[in-house]
Amino acid sequence: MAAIEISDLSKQFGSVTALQNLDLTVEEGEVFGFLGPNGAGKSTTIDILLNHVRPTAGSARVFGMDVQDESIPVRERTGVLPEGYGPLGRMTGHKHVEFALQAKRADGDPQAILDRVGIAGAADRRVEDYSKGMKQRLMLGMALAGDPDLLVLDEPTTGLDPNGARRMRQIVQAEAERDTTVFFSSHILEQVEAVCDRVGILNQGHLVAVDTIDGLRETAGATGQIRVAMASIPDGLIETVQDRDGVTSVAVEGTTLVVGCENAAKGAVVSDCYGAGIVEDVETSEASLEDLFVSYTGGEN
Amino acid sequence: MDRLLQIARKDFTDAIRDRQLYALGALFLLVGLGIGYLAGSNPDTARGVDVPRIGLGAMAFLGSVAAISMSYNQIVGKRASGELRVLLSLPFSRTEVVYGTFLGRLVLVVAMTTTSIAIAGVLAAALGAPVSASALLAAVVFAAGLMAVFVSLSIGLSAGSVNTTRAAAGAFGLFIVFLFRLWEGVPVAVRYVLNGFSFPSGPSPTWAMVWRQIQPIAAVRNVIAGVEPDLTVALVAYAPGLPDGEPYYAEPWFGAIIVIAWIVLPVTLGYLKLRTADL
Repeated sequence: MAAIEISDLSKQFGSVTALQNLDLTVEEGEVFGFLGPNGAGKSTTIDILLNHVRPTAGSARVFGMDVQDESIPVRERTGVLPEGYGPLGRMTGHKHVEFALQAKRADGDPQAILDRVGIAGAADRRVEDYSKGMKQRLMLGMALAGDPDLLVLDEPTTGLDPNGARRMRQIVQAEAERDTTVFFSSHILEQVEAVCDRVGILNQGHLVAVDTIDGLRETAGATGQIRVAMASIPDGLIETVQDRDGVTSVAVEGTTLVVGCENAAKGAVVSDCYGAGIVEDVETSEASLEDLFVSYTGGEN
Repeated sequence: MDRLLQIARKDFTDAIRDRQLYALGALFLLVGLGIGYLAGSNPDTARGVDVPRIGLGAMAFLGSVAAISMSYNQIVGKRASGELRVLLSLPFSRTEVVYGTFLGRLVLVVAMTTTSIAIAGVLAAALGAPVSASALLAAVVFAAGLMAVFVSLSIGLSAGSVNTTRAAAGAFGLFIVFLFRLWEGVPVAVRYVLNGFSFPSGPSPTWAMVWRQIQPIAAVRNVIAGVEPDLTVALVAYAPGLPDGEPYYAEPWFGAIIVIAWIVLPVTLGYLKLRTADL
């Protein structure tokens, strides 16, 4: 059974389309990264899984249970770090975790959980006085309470310092090792890259790519960029290069020609330049995942 | 059920952690002591029903004001702060959040009014004034019923509001409509319009009479009339008078149904609004 099964899910907020015909399956035990720029629909998807928001069309199931009709059983098995959270009343950190454990009907040592997320020292302070990063850690701790089968983390590293982000990654990895399914959203690629088995890229409510990190790397690696610095750009060179097979873009920066192309076309581009004028330097690079992410999400500008 | 109680307990203890509420608690204490002292300082002329009557009258105003001001922000405020997202990410249903909060606030407000009335009774008795135990018990119970109405109205308002500004405006509306008796102006306004924008003459039609008696404080008063008639005068400032001829809509049983409706419906309507809302 899949941990998360989303089929043909759409959500309309008034005239704004937040999600359109989303189909996505996350297998049990998988660490799935949900990538996309702000406003792509990641939080809306998560909100639908938690029944905070109701879909306009389509359905979603978690461990086979409908997220609307069986929301409570879904959330009993799910640990959540929601977006836009706020502290619970005026309780201390310790009380927060205790409260989450009680809600999950789970035994567990709040102090051990706080220790795990690195805020054991602040256990007896009121959470309203916590810093942003400490609140984030606490929310992760509450998500971990009761050893959930699914962790849903919405932008979990927001507000964390590098140490915090690293601990977050370690916790995700540790949870993955004990077969917890992890579904986490981010607009920052590196965080997903480091821990995820598979990645889905969402843009303007559409799922534009779903692949393993390696698969994405392969896609990215097949294309690249070449920069040819010349004494001057001869007339007609740009047109010649543009007509080559495999060339996707040609730009000029000063007297440097910047060509986006498949790796196989790079040699031909360089020889065109040698034939037309004086070449001073050649630099070639493969596209990074970052470039790929940017190209999928239309952020070239 | 245990999760509903968990929410209720949390709501109650949130208040305990709120220093601002201590001032309000002290006010209830002072009012209770004041009433007890006044009744106790004239033990010879005091009647057994005095302390319960004055206590209930004081709670009708102070308690209602406290119930509204302590409740109207309890759900919409959590919606604005993000606390609701956390609660609803844990395995709580919206039903448990709304009714649990209602229960938590009700226990809190009832504890305050009960303490206040009880302290007045104990102090007056200690000073040698007669205090009718049955009337005191009735005052405590009916004050609690009235608090349930106002907590329900305010929690319903809070659950049904999209933002805190609207909830605050609504809370102000509750004061005006119920405590400053705008409610009774409604039939007057309707009749004025129906009469071609001039004031109607002649006796009130039945619907206008019924409307006046289903005002929640009037309904509570009508129930009291059947149980402890000497106490009805406590609410004279907040409810239209009893009509002549004992019509059915002023009978205690009818009042009881109306009071229950005022306790059940507002919070439920607010819940229904929240149930379908996208957070």
